[in-house]
Amino acid sequence: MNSEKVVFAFFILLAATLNFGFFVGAVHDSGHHNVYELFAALVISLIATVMKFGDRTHMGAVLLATSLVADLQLIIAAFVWGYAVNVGEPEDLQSMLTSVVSLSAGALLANITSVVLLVIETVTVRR
Amino acid sequence: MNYVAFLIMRRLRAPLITLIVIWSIATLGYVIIPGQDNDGNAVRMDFLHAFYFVSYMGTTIGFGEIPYAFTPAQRLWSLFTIYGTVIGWFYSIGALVTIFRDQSLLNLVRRTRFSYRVARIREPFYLVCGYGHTGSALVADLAEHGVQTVVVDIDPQRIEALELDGHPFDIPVICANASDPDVLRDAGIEHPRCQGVLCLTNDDHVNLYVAIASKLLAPERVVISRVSTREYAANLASFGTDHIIDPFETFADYLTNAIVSPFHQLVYNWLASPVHRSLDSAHRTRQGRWIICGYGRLGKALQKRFDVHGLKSVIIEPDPEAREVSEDYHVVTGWGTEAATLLEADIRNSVGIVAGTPDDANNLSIVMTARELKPSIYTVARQNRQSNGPIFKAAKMDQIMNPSVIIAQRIMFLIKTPLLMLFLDSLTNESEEWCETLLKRIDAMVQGRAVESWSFTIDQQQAPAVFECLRRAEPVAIQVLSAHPHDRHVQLPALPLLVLRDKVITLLPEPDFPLRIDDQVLFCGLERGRTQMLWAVNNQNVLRYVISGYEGGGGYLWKTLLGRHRARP
Repeated sequence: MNSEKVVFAFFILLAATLNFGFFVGAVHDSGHHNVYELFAALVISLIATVMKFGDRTHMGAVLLATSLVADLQLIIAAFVWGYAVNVGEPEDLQSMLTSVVSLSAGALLANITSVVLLVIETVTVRR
Repeated sequence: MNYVAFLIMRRLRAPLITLIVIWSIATLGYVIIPGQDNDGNAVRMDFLHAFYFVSYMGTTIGFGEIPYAFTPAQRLWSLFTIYGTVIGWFYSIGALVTIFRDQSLLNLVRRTRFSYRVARIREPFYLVCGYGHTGSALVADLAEHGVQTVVVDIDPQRIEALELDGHPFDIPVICANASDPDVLRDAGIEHPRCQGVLCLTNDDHVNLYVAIASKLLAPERVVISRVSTREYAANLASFGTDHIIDPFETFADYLTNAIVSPFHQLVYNWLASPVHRSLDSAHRTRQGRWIICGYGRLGKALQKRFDVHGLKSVIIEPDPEAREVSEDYHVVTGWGTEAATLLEADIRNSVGIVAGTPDDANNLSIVMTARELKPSIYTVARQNRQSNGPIFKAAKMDQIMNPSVIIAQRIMFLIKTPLLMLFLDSLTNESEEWCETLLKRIDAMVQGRAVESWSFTIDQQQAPAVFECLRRAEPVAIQVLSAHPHDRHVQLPALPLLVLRDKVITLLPEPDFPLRIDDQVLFCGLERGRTQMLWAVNNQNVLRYVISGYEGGGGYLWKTLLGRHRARP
């Protein structure tokens, strides 16, 4: 058992589940999407990314790439949220929140890819 | 190579994760803890403001409490986060500084710069492994002759020494293990301009490694290696190392030659060393009994040759059994530093003494004691440490055996004038009389002045005029090259020693020896002879004159005018 890989699996799965938790619900209903969940998803995703730093394997490099994609989407989503709530016009709020949710959907896709890759890697381990 | 970059990324993990965790917990705290606006209403910071506050607090910028003055609960949390973020920063910055001061990273940077500099070398260069006494002497000598070198040594002090030595041009240098093939590759072993590899480390095993690696990575590259034991010499020879130099064997050859065949030795001395000795010096007899002090590497090498030539010798050795001295020899047990031992070895009836122990003080003592007992004795001493040079010089011995000088000198010959080395090696097949005749011929030519030697290949670069002539199928005899460019009936002070054609050696070619393209020719004579010979070798008009005596004009106009003039009856 490689404890480093297990810890990484924990974080990547947690990032995916938090992301899913934020995303699930009606796209246009802001009541279905909790900002704390977005925050947690972003933080966990960042940690998962850093944990893949300096991995020389091909799989490690691909996982770094997918989690970087998730980070990018989530950071943009968080930025849009902050802008919509504090800066933007009140009538734009609804459409902006919708785009936050769709951005997080993109991040979710990247996170799912990471999880799938992780599962494949785990299955190929013989011991 | 690249793994260092990965290692650094990996080491960045912990500080980065620490920062992320501290930042997110602090931010979350401000979002959760309720605050108050100016009217006393409960308000909560959103993530934007919380992250903004944490960012400037964590970086110790501190713009104050926004958007409203903090409640006591918020201030309590601030107290925690101020110290939390500062500790986080300290830790991360400390870790970052450690990484960039990391020796392996610095080595990587140095290595990258080194291989970049080597890759950019445009002129021919030699790769020198080991910058000890031999290596530094050789690099300095090569630099003086404008030959670029690349140096690899494992000892950082020697690398610093090179930086202080102040060579006329930049010498790429790396502190690394030369037996690592990656290092050799970075040092340019596969570089198209690399002329050869010189293995000069103190460790025979490392030399062996370098030689093998270079023969495998670049089989056509010349490999010259020093060696100190016979087993390694045989090992090096087994896979085609081009030149193997054992200083003890080389010196033993030299000394035995001086005793047995003085004329051979004098030819060698005249051509190889800059100091001129008179022809009479060969007659000084040294034949007789020799005392060899110390039956180590030098003693063994000498005794082997003495056996071959049937010379008489006495061995003085403190521990004959450990050194496995054969019973057949006349052995005296002792150091040789005290008179009693030397007298027991019958120094009064000996012609020479070799102080060949590995200890310089003992060697000096042996020589001084021997001179006391018999002032006319021929003294030879082995100098082990370079720093003792002045003392050995002051002792005024007849010969000093200095391993690093011998190796450096020999390698310089191999690099500068490989043909001369070939000539000297092929001398061994010739008789003493042959050498004496040659010496008399040379002496008649130079009349006591220093002998120079020079060589060139008959090709477009080194001998364009001769090349052009031969290309047009006009025969060129070797004697025309030694005709004076101003008056072809005058002979230049130059004597052809050797012509190398398709690996066939012609010693002392006859005057009418016809040259061919790609011949390599070796001359000896006076410096004046060399410069004047180069006229004919390089200039077609001069060459035409020395061949036919016809002085043709050079320029196009002159040629046309002359052509017309001659066309008229």
